[in-house]
Amino acid sequence: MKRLLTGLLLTASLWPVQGLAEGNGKTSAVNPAAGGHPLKELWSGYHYSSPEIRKLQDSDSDNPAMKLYGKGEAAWKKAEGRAKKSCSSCHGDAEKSMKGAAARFPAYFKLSKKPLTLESRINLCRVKFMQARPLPSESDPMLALSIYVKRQSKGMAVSVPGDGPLKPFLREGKSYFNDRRGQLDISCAGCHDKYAGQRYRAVKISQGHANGFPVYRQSLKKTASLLRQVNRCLARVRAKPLKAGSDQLTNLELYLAWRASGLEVETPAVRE
Amino acid sequence: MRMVIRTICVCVAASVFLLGASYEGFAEHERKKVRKVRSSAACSAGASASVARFKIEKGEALPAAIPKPLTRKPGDAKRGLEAAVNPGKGNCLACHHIAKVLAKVEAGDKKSEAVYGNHGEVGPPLNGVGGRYSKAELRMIVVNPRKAFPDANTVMPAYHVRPLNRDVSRACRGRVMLSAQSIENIVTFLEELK
Repeated sequence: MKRLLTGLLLTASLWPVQGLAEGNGKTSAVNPAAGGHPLKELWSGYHYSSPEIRKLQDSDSDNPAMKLYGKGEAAWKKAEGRAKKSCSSCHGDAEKSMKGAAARFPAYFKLSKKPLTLESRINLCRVKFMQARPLPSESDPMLALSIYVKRQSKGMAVSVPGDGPLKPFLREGKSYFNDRRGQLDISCAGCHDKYAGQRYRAVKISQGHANGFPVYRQSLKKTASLLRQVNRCLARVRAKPLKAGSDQLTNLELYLAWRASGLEVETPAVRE
Repeated sequence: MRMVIRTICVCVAASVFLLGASYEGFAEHERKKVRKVRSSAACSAGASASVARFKIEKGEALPAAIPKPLTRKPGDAKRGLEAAVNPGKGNCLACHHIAKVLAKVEAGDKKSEAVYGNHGEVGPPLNGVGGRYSKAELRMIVVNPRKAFPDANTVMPAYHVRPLNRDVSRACRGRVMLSAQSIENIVTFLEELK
Protein backbone atom coordinates (compact mmCIF):
# COMPACT_ATOMS: atom_id res chain seq x y z
CA MET A 1 0.00 0.00 0.00
CA LYS A 2 2.79 2.36 1.02
CA ARG A 3 4.65 1.56 -2.17
CA LEU A 4 1.55 2.26 -4.23
CA LEU A 5 1.08 5.59 -2.52
CA THR A 6 4.72 6.63 -3.13
CA GLY A 7 4.30 5.55 -6.72
CA LEU A 8 1.21 7.70 -7.06
CA LEU A 9 2.95 10.63 -5.37
CA LEU A 10 5.94 10.27 -7.68
CA THR A 11 3.73 10.27 -10.75
CA ALA A 12 1.93 13.30 -9.45
CA SER A 13 5.19 15.15 -8.80
CA LEU A 14 6.48 14.28 -12.26
CA TRP A 15 3.33 15.63 -13.90
CA PRO A 16 4.34 19.30 -14.11
CA VAL A 17 7.83 18.34 -15.35
CA GLN A 18 6.23 16.53 -18.24
CA GLY A 19 4.16 19.60 -18.88
CA LEU A 20 7.30 21.70 -19.03
CA ALA A 21 8.95 19.40 -21.53
CA GLU A 22 6.06 20.09 -23.86
CA GLY A 23 6.84 23.79 -23.75
CA ASN A 24 9.24 25.63 -25.98
CA GLY A 25 12.40 24.53 -24.17
CA LYS A 26 13.88 21.38 -22.75
CA THR A 27 14.83 20.76 -19.16
CA SER A 28 16.67 17.54 -19.93
CA ALA A 29 20.27 17.07 -21.02
CA VAL A 30 21.44 15.78 -24.38
CA ASN A 31 24.62 13.88 -25.07
CA PRO A 32 27.14 15.66 -27.31
CA ALA A 33 26.82 14.54 -30.91
CA ALA A 34 30.53 14.54 -31.69
CA GLY A 35 33.66 13.10 -30.11
CA GLY A 36 36.25 15.41 -28.54
CA HIS A 37 33.51 17.57 -27.07
CA PRO A 38 34.41 19.76 -24.08
CA LEU A 39 31.09 19.06 -22.30
CA LYS A 40 29.80 15.79 -20.90
CA GLU A 41 26.14 16.78 -21.18
CA LEU A 42 24.52 19.58 -23.13
CA TRP A 43 22.02 21.78 -21.35
CA SER A 44 20.09 24.49 -23.11
CA GLY A 45 20.07 27.96 -21.54
CA TYR A 46 16.41 27.22 -20.78
CA HIS A 47 17.60 24.83 -18.08
CA TYR A 48 19.51 27.60 -16.27
CA SER A 49 16.67 30.12 -16.50
CA SER A 50 14.33 30.98 -13.65
CA PRO A 51 10.73 29.64 -13.71
CA GLU A 52 9.39 33.10 -14.66
CA ILE A 53 11.69 33.31 -17.67
CA ARG A 54 10.78 29.78 -18.75
CA LYS A 55 7.10 30.62 -18.48
CA LEU A 56 7.56 33.58 -20.83
CA GLN A 57 9.26 31.34 -23.38
CA ASP A 58 6.69 28.59 -23.03
CA SER A 59 3.82 30.75 -24.18
CA ASP A 60 4.05 32.30 -27.63
CA SER A 61 1.52 34.95 -26.70
CA ASP A 62 3.62 36.06 -23.70
CA ASN A 63 7.02 35.84 -25.40
CA PRO A 64 7.87 39.46 -26.32
CA ALA A 65 10.13 38.34 -29.17
CA MET A 66 7.15 36.77 -30.94
CA LYS A 67 5.99 40.27 -31.90
CA LEU A 68 8.92 40.33 -34.30
CA TYR A 69 7.86 36.95 -35.73
CA GLY A 70 4.79 38.57 -37.28
CA LYS A 71 6.90 41.36 -38.72
CA GLY A 72 9.26 38.77 -40.16
CA GLU A 73 6.41 36.94 -41.79
CA ALA A 74 5.28 40.16 -43.50
CA ALA A 75 8.86 40.94 -44.58
CA TRP A 76 9.21 37.45 -46.09
CA LYS A 77 6.39 38.18 -48.51
CA LYS A 78 7.21 41.82 -49.26
CA ALA A 79 8.90 42.54 -52.61
CA GLU A 80 11.90 44.84 -52.29
CA GLY A 81 14.86 46.11 -54.28
CA ARG A 82 15.38 46.77 -57.96
CA ALA A 83 14.57 43.16 -58.88
CA LYS A 84 11.18 43.61 -57.20
CA LYS A 85 11.43 40.22 -55.56
CA SER A 86 10.56 39.00 -52.11
CA CYS A 87 12.02 36.04 -50.21
CA SER A 88 8.90 34.09 -51.10
CA SER A 89 9.33 34.74 -54.87
CA CYS A 90 12.16 32.19 -54.83
CA HIS A 91 11.74 30.25 -51.58
CA GLY A 92 7.96 29.99 -51.54
CA ASP A 93 6.35 28.93 -48.30
CA ALA A 94 8.88 29.40 -45.50
CA GLU A 95 7.17 26.80 -43.36
CA LYS A 96 8.31 24.21 -45.88
CA SER A 97 11.43 25.68 -47.50
CA MET A 98 13.06 27.04 -44.34
CA LYS A 99 12.35 24.01 -42.17
CA GLY A 100 15.68 22.81 -40.79
CA ALA A 101 17.69 25.82 -42.02
CA ALA A 102 18.48 27.13 -38.52
CA ALA A 103 19.59 23.64 -37.46
CA ARG A 104 22.34 23.42 -40.09
CA PHE A 105 23.59 27.03 -40.12
CA PRO A 106 26.28 28.45 -40.29
CA ALA A 107 26.77 26.47 -43.50
CA TYR A 108 29.56 26.39 -46.06
CA PHE A 109 28.99 28.23 -49.34
CA LYS A 110 31.11 27.35 -52.33
CA LEU A 111 30.57 30.76 -53.91
CA SER A 112 31.82 32.60 -50.84
CA LYS A 113 34.49 29.96 -50.11
CA LYS A 114 33.58 30.21 -46.44
CA PRO A 115 30.72 29.53 -44.05
CA LEU A 116 27.93 32.07 -43.76
CA THR A 117 25.63 32.73 -40.84
CA LEU A 118 21.92 32.78 -41.56
CA GLU A 119 21.97 36.57 -41.25
CA SER A 120 24.80 36.87 -43.80
CA ARG A 121 22.91 34.47 -46.06
CA ILE A 122 19.81 36.64 -45.89
CA ASN A 123 21.87 39.68 -46.83
CA LEU A 124 23.56 37.81 -49.67
CA CYS A 125 20.11 37.06 -51.08
CA ARG A 126 19.04 40.65 -50.65
CA VAL A 127 22.06 42.14 -52.37
CA LYS A 128 22.51 39.57 -55.15
CA PHE A 129 19.03 38.47 -56.07
CA MET A 130 16.70 41.15 -54.76
CA GLN A 131 19.16 43.96 -55.51
CA ALA A 132 18.15 45.54 -52.24
CA ARG A 133 20.18 47.00 -49.42
CA PRO A 134 21.55 44.58 -46.82
CA LEU A 135 19.75 44.73 -43.48
CA PRO A 136 21.92 46.09 -40.68
CA SER A 137 22.64 43.57 -37.96
CA GLU A 138 20.73 44.18 -34.73
CA SER A 139 18.10 46.22 -36.59
CA ASP A 140 14.47 45.23 -36.05
CA PRO A 141 13.97 44.11 -39.69
CA MET A 142 16.97 41.78 -39.48
CA LEU A 143 15.96 40.39 -36.09
CA ALA A 144 12.41 39.88 -37.36
CA LEU A 145 13.40 38.04 -40.53
CA SER A 146 15.99 35.98 -38.69
CA ILE A 147 13.44 34.99 -36.02
CA TYR A 148 10.85 34.13 -38.68
CA VAL A 149 13.25 31.90 -40.62
CA LYS A 150 14.86 30.24 -37.60
CA ARG A 151 11.52 29.59 -35.96
CA GLN A 152 10.64 27.21 -38.80
CA SER A 153 13.20 24.79 -37.32
CA LYS A 154 11.80 24.94 -33.79
CA GLY A 155 12.26 21.65 -31.99
CA MET A 156 14.71 20.26 -34.55
CA ALA A 157 18.16 19.26 -33.30
CA VAL A 158 21.08 21.52 -34.22
CA SER A 159 23.34 19.52 -36.49
CA VAL A 160 26.56 21.08 -37.80
CA PRO A 161 29.25 18.64 -38.96
CA GLY A 162 32.80 18.84 -37.62
CA ASP A 163 34.46 17.74 -40.86
CA GLY A 164 34.43 18.58 -44.57
CA PRO A 165 35.05 22.11 -45.83
CA LEU A 166 33.96 23.58 -42.48
CA LYS A 167 36.87 22.05 -40.61
CA PRO A 168 39.46 24.89 -40.84
CA PHE A 169 36.79 27.49 -39.92
CA LEU A 170 35.64 25.37 -37.03
CA ARG A 171 39.21 25.23 -35.75
CA GLU A 172 39.40 29.04 -35.88
CA GLY A 173 36.15 29.38 -33.98
CA LYS A 174 37.28 26.88 -31.38
CA SER A 175 40.49 28.74 -30.72
CA TYR A 176 38.57 32.03 -30.42
CA PHE A 177 36.38 30.33 -27.80
CA ASN A 178 39.32 28.84 -25.92
CA ASP A 179 41.79 31.74 -26.03
CA ARG A 180 42.02 34.02 -23.02
CA ARG A 181 41.42 37.67 -23.86
CA GLY A 182 40.68 41.14 -22.52
CA GLN A 183 41.99 42.93 -19.46
CA LEU A 184 40.62 40.08 -17.30
CA ASP A 185 42.40 37.51 -19.49
CA ILE A 186 39.50 35.04 -19.43
CA SER A 187 38.33 32.82 -22.31
CA CYS A 188 34.74 31.95 -23.21
CA ALA A 189 35.56 28.36 -22.22
CA GLY A 190 36.90 29.58 -18.87
CA CYS A 191 33.32 30.28 -17.80
CA HIS A 192 30.97 28.38 -20.11
CA ASP A 193 32.84 25.05 -20.29
CA LYS A 194 34.04 25.04 -16.70
CA TYR A 195 31.52 26.83 -14.52
CA ALA A 196 28.11 26.38 -16.14
CA GLY A 197 25.41 26.16 -13.47
CA GLN A 198 27.42 28.19 -10.92
CA ARG A 199 26.40 31.70 -10.14
CA TYR A 200 28.25 34.83 -11.24
CA ARG A 201 26.73 37.39 -8.86
CA ALA A 202 23.00 36.67 -9.13
CA VAL A 203 23.10 35.13 -12.61
CA LYS A 204 23.60 31.45 -13.34
CA ILE A 205 26.33 30.89 -15.90
CA SER A 206 24.96 28.92 -18.86
CA GLN A 207 26.83 26.58 -21.16
CA GLY A 208 26.76 29.37 -23.73
CA HIS A 209 24.76 27.68 -26.48
CA ALA A 210 23.28 29.68 -29.34
CA ASN A 211 20.26 27.44 -30.02
CA GLY A 212 17.71 30.07 -28.97
CA PHE A 213 19.01 33.19 -30.75
CA PRO A 214 17.80 35.83 -31.41
CA VAL A 215 16.55 35.84 -27.81
CA TYR A 216 14.44 38.20 -25.78
CA ARG A 217 16.65 39.55 -22.98
CA GLN A 218 14.62 40.25 -19.88
CA SER A 219 17.44 42.37 -18.39
CA LEU A 220 17.67 44.55 -21.51
CA LYS A 221 13.92 44.48 -22.26
CA LYS A 222 14.96 43.88 -25.85
CA THR A 223 15.28 41.19 -28.46
CA ALA A 224 18.96 40.65 -29.08
CA SER A 225 21.19 38.86 -31.54
CA LEU A 226 24.05 36.52 -30.73
CA LEU A 227 26.49 39.31 -31.60
CA ARG A 228 25.03 41.51 -28.90
CA GLN A 229 25.39 38.79 -26.28
CA VAL A 230 28.94 37.96 -27.36
CA ASN A 231 29.83 41.62 -27.11
CA ARG A 232 28.25 41.87 -23.65
CA CYS A 233 30.48 39.02 -22.54
CA LEU A 234 33.52 40.61 -24.19
CA ALA A 235 32.78 43.92 -22.45
CA ARG A 236 32.72 42.07 -19.11
CA VAL A 237 36.24 40.76 -19.66
CA ARG A 238 37.10 44.20 -21.09
CA ALA A 239 38.02 42.92 -24.53
CA LYS A 240 37.58 44.38 -28.00
CA PRO A 241 34.07 43.81 -29.37
CA LEU A 242 33.43 41.67 -32.45
CA LYS A 243 32.08 43.25 -35.62
CA ALA A 244 28.85 42.29 -37.35
CA GLY A 245 29.46 40.03 -40.34
CA SER A 246 33.14 39.52 -39.46
CA ASP A 247 34.85 36.18 -40.09
CA GLN A 248 35.70 35.95 -36.41
CA LEU A 249 32.03 36.10 -35.46
CA THR A 250 31.02 33.60 -38.15
CA ASN A 251 33.70 31.14 -37.06
CA LEU A 252 32.71 31.55 -33.42
CA GLU A 253 29.06 31.00 -34.30
CA LEU A 254 30.08 27.93 -36.28
CA TYR A 255 31.95 26.49 -33.31
CA LEU A 256 29.00 27.27 -31.03
CA ALA A 257 26.63 25.47 -33.42
CA TRP A 258 28.93 22.42 -33.58
CA ARG A 259 29.21 22.53 -29.78
CA ALA A 260 25.41 22.70 -29.41
CA SER A 261 24.70 19.96 -31.95
CA GLY A 262 21.98 17.75 -30.50
CA LEU A 263 20.14 20.56 -28.69
CA GLU A 264 16.82 21.71 -30.10
CA VAL A 265 16.37 25.06 -31.85
CA GLU A 266 14.36 27.29 -29.46
CA THR A 267 14.23 30.55 -31.42
CA PRO A 268 13.06 32.97 -30.15
CA ALA A 269 14.09 31.98 -26.63
CA VAL A 270 13.73 34.16 -23.54
CA ARG A 271 16.73 34.61 -21.30
CA GLU A 272 17.67 36.53 -18.16
CA MET B 1 56.20 103.93 -50.07
CA ARG B 2 58.47 100.91 -50.11
CA MET B 3 58.92 101.24 -46.40
CA VAL B 4 55.15 101.17 -45.86
CA ILE B 5 54.69 98.07 -48.01
CA ARG B 6 57.50 96.32 -46.17
CA THR B 7 55.97 97.11 -42.78
CA ILE B 8 52.58 95.86 -43.91
CA CYS B 9 54.15 92.64 -45.21
CA VAL B 10 56.02 92.03 -41.98
CA CYS B 11 52.90 92.70 -39.95
CA VAL B 12 50.79 90.32 -42.02
CA ALA B 13 53.48 87.61 -41.85
CA ALA B 14 53.83 88.01 -38.10
CA SER B 15 50.09 87.90 -37.45
CA VAL B 16 49.66 84.84 -39.66
CA PHE B 17 52.51 83.14 -37.81
CA LEU B 18 51.09 84.05 -34.40
CA LEU B 19 47.55 83.07 -35.32
CA GLY B 20 48.78 79.77 -36.74
CA ALA B 21 50.75 79.02 -33.61
CA SER B 22 47.89 79.76 -31.28
CA TYR B 23 45.54 77.71 -33.45
CA GLU B 24 47.93 74.77 -33.34
CA GLY B 25 48.17 75.12 -29.59
CA PHE B 26 44.42 75.21 -29.27
CA ALA B 27 44.02 72.08 -31.37
CA GLU B 28 46.61 70.22 -29.32
CA HIS B 29 44.84 71.25 -26.13
CA GLU B 30 41.49 70.06 -27.45
CA ARG B 31 42.94 66.77 -28.61
CA LYS B 32 44.45 66.11 -25.20
CA LYS B 33 41.14 66.85 -23.54
CA VAL B 34 39.26 64.44 -25.80
CA ARG B 35 41.84 61.70 -25.28
CA LYS B 36 41.62 62.10 -21.53
CA VAL B 37 37.82 61.94 -21.46
CA ARG B 38 37.76 58.90 -23.69
CA SER B 39 40.23 56.90 -21.66
CA SER B 40 38.81 57.72 -18.24
CA ALA B 41 35.19 57.09 -19.26
CA ALA B 42 35.47 53.65 -20.75
CA CYS B 43 37.77 51.46 -18.62
CA SER B 44 36.71 50.47 -15.10
CA ALA B 45 36.57 52.68 -12.03
CA GLY B 46 39.49 50.89 -10.42
CA ALA B 47 41.83 50.80 -13.43
CA SER B 48 45.18 52.53 -13.18
CA ALA B 49 47.96 53.31 -15.62
CA SER B 50 50.79 52.98 -13.11
CA VAL B 51 52.21 49.69 -11.90
CA ALA B 52 54.08 49.34 -8.61
CA ARG B 53 57.39 47.48 -8.43
CA PHE B 54 57.44 44.46 -6.20
CA LYS B 55 59.60 41.48 -5.36
CA ILE B 56 58.24 37.94 -5.39
CA GLU B 57 59.54 35.52 -2.77
CA LYS B 58 58.62 32.00 -1.73
CA GLY B 59 55.56 31.74 0.52
CA GLU B 60 54.71 29.22 3.24
CA ALA B 61 51.43 27.75 1.96
CA LEU B 62 51.92 28.92 -1.63
CA PRO B 63 54.85 28.85 -4.04
CA ALA B 64 54.93 32.67 -4.32
CA ALA B 65 54.33 35.69 -2.07
CA ILE B 66 54.96 39.45 -1.99
CA PRO B 67 56.15 40.31 1.53
CA LYS B 68 56.60 44.07 1.07
CA PRO B 69 53.55 46.36 0.69
CA LEU B 70 53.10 47.98 -2.73
CA THR B 71 52.54 51.44 -1.21
CA ARG B 72 53.88 53.43 1.72
CA LYS B 73 50.39 54.23 2.91
CA PRO B 74 49.00 51.27 4.86
CA GLY B 75 45.86 49.53 3.54
CA ASP B 76 42.40 50.54 4.74
CA ALA B 77 40.11 47.55 5.38
CA LYS B 78 36.91 49.58 5.01
CA ARG B 79 37.94 50.80 1.57
CA GLY B 80 39.06 47.29 0.79
CA LEU B 81 35.56 45.99 1.46
CA GLU B 82 34.11 48.68 -0.78
CA ALA B 83 36.50 47.71 -3.60
CA ALA B 84 35.78 44.00 -3.08
CA VAL B 85 32.08 44.64 -3.67
CA ASN B 86 32.23 47.30 -6.41
CA PRO B 87 31.72 45.74 -9.87
CA GLY B 88 34.04 48.34 -11.41
CA LYS B 89 36.82 47.58 -8.94
CA GLY B 90 37.66 44.23 -7.36
CA ASN B 91 34.20 42.67 -7.86
CA CYS B 92 35.30 39.76 -5.62
CA LEU B 93 31.65 39.15 -4.69
CA ALA B 94 30.88 38.18 -8.30
CA CYS B 95 32.62 34.84 -7.72
CA HIS B 96 33.12 34.51 -3.95
CA HIS B 97 30.93 34.22 -0.87
CA ILE B 98 31.97 36.79 1.75
CA ALA B 99 30.00 36.42 4.97
CA LYS B 100 31.15 39.80 6.29
CA VAL B 101 29.64 41.54 3.27
CA LEU B 102 26.39 39.61 3.46
CA ALA B 103 26.13 40.46 7.17
CA LYS B 104 25.65 44.06 6.07
CA VAL B 105 22.46 43.07 4.29
CA GLU B 106 21.19 41.21 7.34
CA ALA B 107 22.03 44.24 9.47
CA GLY B 108 19.54 46.14 7.32
CA ASP B 109 21.90 48.04 5.01
CA LYS B 110 18.99 48.50 2.58
CA LYS B 111 20.63 51.00 0.29
CA SER B 112 23.24 48.58 -0.87
CA GLU B 113 21.21 45.39 -0.82
CA ALA B 114 21.33 45.12 -4.59
CA VAL B 115 25.11 45.39 -4.50
CA TYR B 116 25.80 43.38 -1.35
CA GLY B 117 22.99 40.87 -1.60
CA ASN B 118 24.18 38.51 -4.32
CA HIS B 119 27.38 36.55 -4.37
CA GLY B 120 28.77 34.14 -6.93
CA GLU B 121 30.01 30.61 -6.42
CA VAL B 122 32.73 30.24 -9.03
CA GLY B 123 35.55 30.63 -6.50
CA PRO B 124 35.88 29.32 -2.92
CA PRO B 125 34.25 31.32 -0.08
CA LEU B 126 36.59 33.97 1.28
CA ASN B 127 35.48 33.48 4.87
CA GLY B 128 38.53 32.71 7.00
CA VAL B 129 40.93 33.40 4.14
CA GLY B 130 43.04 35.54 6.49
CA GLY B 131 43.75 32.44 8.55
CA ARG B 132 44.63 30.26 5.57
CA TYR B 133 47.20 32.53 3.96
CA SER B 134 49.76 35.08 5.17
CA LYS B 135 49.39 38.74 4.19
CA ALA B 136 52.30 38.31 1.75
CA GLU B 137 50.50 35.42 0.07
CA LEU B 138 47.18 37.26 -0.06
CA ARG B 139 48.99 40.14 -1.79
CA MET B 140 50.42 37.74 -4.36
CA ILE B 141 47.00 36.15 -4.96
CA VAL B 142 45.33 39.50 -5.67
CA VAL B 143 48.24 40.85 -7.73
CA ASN B 144 48.56 37.72 -9.87
CA PRO B 145 46.77 34.49 -8.87
CA ARG B 146 48.24 32.64 -11.84
CA LYS B 147 51.66 32.99 -10.20
CA ALA B 148 50.38 32.48 -6.68
CA PHE B 149 48.55 29.19 -7.14
CA PRO B 150 50.17 25.96 -8.34
CA ASP B 151 47.29 25.75 -10.86
CA ALA B 152 48.19 28.44 -13.37
CA ASN B 153 44.88 27.80 -15.11
CA THR B 154 42.74 29.58 -12.54
CA VAL B 155 40.01 31.76 -14.00
CA MET B 156 40.66 34.51 -11.43
CA PRO B 157 42.05 37.65 -13.09
CA ALA B 158 45.38 39.26 -12.20
CA TYR B 159 44.56 42.63 -10.64
CA HIS B 160 47.93 44.34 -10.77
CA VAL B 161 49.59 43.11 -13.94
CA ARG B 162 49.73 45.25 -17.07
CA PRO B 163 47.60 43.35 -19.59
CA LEU B 164 49.81 42.18 -22.43
CA ASN B 165 47.23 39.63 -23.52
CA ARG B 166 44.98 39.40 -26.53
CA ASP B 167 42.26 41.84 -27.61
CA VAL B 168 42.31 44.18 -24.59
CA SER B 169 39.66 46.86 -25.13
CA ARG B 170 41.02 50.20 -26.29
CA ALA B 171 40.17 51.94 -23.05
CA CYS B 172 41.87 49.35 -20.85
CA ARG B 173 45.00 48.82 -22.90
CA GLY B 174 48.10 49.15 -20.73
CA ARG B 175 46.09 49.60 -17.55
CA VAL B 176 46.12 47.39 -14.49
CA MET B 177 42.74 46.44 -13.03
CA LEU B 178 43.40 47.92 -9.60
CA SER B 179 45.79 50.60 -8.36
CA ALA B 180 48.53 49.65 -5.89
CA GLN B 181 46.59 51.39 -3.10
CA SER B 182 43.41 49.43 -3.88
CA ILE B 183 45.42 46.20 -3.75
CA GLU B 184 46.72 47.15 -0.29
CA ASN B 185 43.20 48.02 0.87
CA ILE B 186 41.77 44.72 -0.34
CA VAL B 187 44.65 42.72 1.13
CA THR B 188 44.10 44.40 4.51
CA PHE B 189 40.37 43.62 4.29
CA LEU B 190 41.10 39.97 3.42
CA GLU B 191 43.67 39.65 6.22
CA GLU B 192 40.94 40.56 8.70
CA LEU B 193 38.65 37.75 7.48
CA LYS B 194 39.60 35.20 10.13
